[in-house]
Amino acid sequence: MQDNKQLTTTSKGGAAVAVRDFLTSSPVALRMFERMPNEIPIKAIEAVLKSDQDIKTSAQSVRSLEPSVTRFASVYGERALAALVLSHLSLVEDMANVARPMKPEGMAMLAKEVTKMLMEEDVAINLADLQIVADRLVKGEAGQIYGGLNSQTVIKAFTDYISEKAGEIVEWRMEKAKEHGFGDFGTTRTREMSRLKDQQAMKLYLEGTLNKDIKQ
Amino acid sequence: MNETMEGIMDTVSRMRKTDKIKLVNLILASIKDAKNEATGAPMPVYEGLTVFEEVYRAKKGVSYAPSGNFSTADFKHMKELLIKISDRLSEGGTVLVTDALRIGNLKMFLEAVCKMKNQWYFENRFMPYGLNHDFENIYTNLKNNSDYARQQAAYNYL
Repeated sequence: MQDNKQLTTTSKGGAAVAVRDFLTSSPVALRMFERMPNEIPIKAIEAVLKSDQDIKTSAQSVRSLEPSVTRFASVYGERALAALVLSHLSLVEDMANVARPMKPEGMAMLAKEVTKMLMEEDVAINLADLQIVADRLVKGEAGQIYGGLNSQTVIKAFTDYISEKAGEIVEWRMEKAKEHGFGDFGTTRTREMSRLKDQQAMKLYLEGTLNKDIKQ
Repeated sequence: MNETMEGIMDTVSRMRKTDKIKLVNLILASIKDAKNEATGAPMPVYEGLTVFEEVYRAKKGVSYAPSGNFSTADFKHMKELLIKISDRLSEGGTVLVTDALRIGNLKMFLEAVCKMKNQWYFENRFMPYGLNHDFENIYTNLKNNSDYARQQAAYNYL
């Protein structure tokens, strides 16, 4: 009785089966579709399906044109974003084959917490970034999962990634500034320069606040 | 089917013992009205018992029916168990319930029961009679405690 799927009949009709086949290339989109079939707009699932799975690093993510999570939430609702985060987390848990899985209440609460954090974050997080963090959790690059997934590991993985991405944004701004021939960044009059300063300040701020959080 | 009685008797007399037992079981399965009264769909009762026998032997190390002969009660309760599984399968209304699906789900159900922590069950009620009577309870328990149900509950909390 694997997952009770055979006994509960997850398919709801011919059309649904066709969509299900279509979604097999993206496990996250498939899971969102299966678990919340009538509650998440199909366009939201399509957006998840179209998000580029070849983006593997924060540097690639900064230079991509992936839609941000804030945009995703403003169009399809925060619940859809929470469902997306929960799909990632549940897949991580499945792949890590944990001994003590999280309770449903805890998992839902963690997904909501991460959603809130991503929405309030000034650094733009996009759909590919969620996949990157999930991959890191699975591979153990964001800390070992002993026994089971927990909120500290997950939230630290996200905060670490946000900090890393802030640094990458600074690098990207400097790169763009050099392309436009602004020299050695001595001037502060251009728009690029002011953006760069903002980003650098944000990076310093994030490093400070994150370190403070961890120390507490 | 123009075989005479003598021909049939001759064929049976030359059969091996295991084949004879199988034939008796098949006849018993047909005598026990192996059809769902509500829908008239035939139930693969003997096949189901064979699967049960396999799972039983794998779990306990001994055979459920050492001689190969199942009792009439076994046929009756296996039929009812298969009907219950078929009812669950056809709940959605979109699945074409075939014999292979019935037997596959029966096997999954039996294997899930084998993984239950309640070992007392295997000593006392792991037989077609017990499985038939406890199907609803076991099914509900498995459904509520499986990974699928747990994750679905998390989605419902969002």
